[in-house]
Amino acid sequence: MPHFDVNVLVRLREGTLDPAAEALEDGLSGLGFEGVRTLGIDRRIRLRIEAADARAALASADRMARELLANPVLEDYEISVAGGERA
Amino acid sequence: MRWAVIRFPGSHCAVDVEHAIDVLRLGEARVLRGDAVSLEGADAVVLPGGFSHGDYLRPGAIAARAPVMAAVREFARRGGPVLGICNGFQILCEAGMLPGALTVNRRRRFVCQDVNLRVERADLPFTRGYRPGEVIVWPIAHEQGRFVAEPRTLARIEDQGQVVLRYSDPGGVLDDRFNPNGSAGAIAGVANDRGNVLGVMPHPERAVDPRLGPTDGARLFTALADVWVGSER
Repeated sequence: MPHFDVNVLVRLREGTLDPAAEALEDGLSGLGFEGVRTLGIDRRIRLRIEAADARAALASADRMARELLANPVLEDYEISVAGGERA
Repeated sequence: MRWAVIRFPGSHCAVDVEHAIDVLRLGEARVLRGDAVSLEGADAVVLPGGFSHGDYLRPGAIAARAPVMAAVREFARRGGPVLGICNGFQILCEAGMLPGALTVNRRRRFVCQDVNLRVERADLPFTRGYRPGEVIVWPIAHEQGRFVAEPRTLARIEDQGQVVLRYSDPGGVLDDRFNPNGSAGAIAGVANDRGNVLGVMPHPERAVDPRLGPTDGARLFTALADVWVGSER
């Protein structure tokens, strides 16, 4: 069975208060960087999935994201085959 | 009365729950692991605090999918009382047994202090020992206790009276300065729509022993035991 490397990018949903991003802005501002906003500190989960083809690997990663990797109350996710196709 | 206390790797507060049940003389606490398939005839289930599975990914996320949770879900479906404390509350939200989610505190600090809680519902099996509107003191200890939910979920749980405890000032007035983590609606505890599953961020089991501080948590456990005694008659 071939395998495919899949990236699952998990990020806070738009409008969710992100204290970590605010802290990062404070840190950057302390170093003298001005005029910069943190848009997000995302989490990238890299998976190697055995599947018949890339489409099946993406479908499987999508189920994993819905069932565990992202919490829909807080987060959105995006899935892509490493170096290629997006879901 | 038999209490099942579910301990996952990293659930370090199981011992506090056992201590509370022991000090209050409320029966037998049996500690079960996350891979248990049966609750062994428990009359009440407690998911204690801690950092289950290292809180990796999100607090409670991995524990919520552990084998024992199928039994906990079935126990709740049959109307059995399930109490989630701190990490246990996070687990119940992650398992979809309670609405909303708990995430990083507004000020990103670990908060560890006694807090005032206004009792919003004094008619649940967990809260019959309190008066409606009474202000009680329990300790909190968490970094990810900010309750959030989608606006329509928040509206629903408010409308249906599922908010059980709110952070307040000592007089019971809601005041942002007394909301230690920035929770929506100052929510500290939420129940499911049937009222038999309760999640609380503060620790009632750490407020039962006069040698250690406030004792307002005791009435939660004694109320549950009283309800159980009533049901056995």
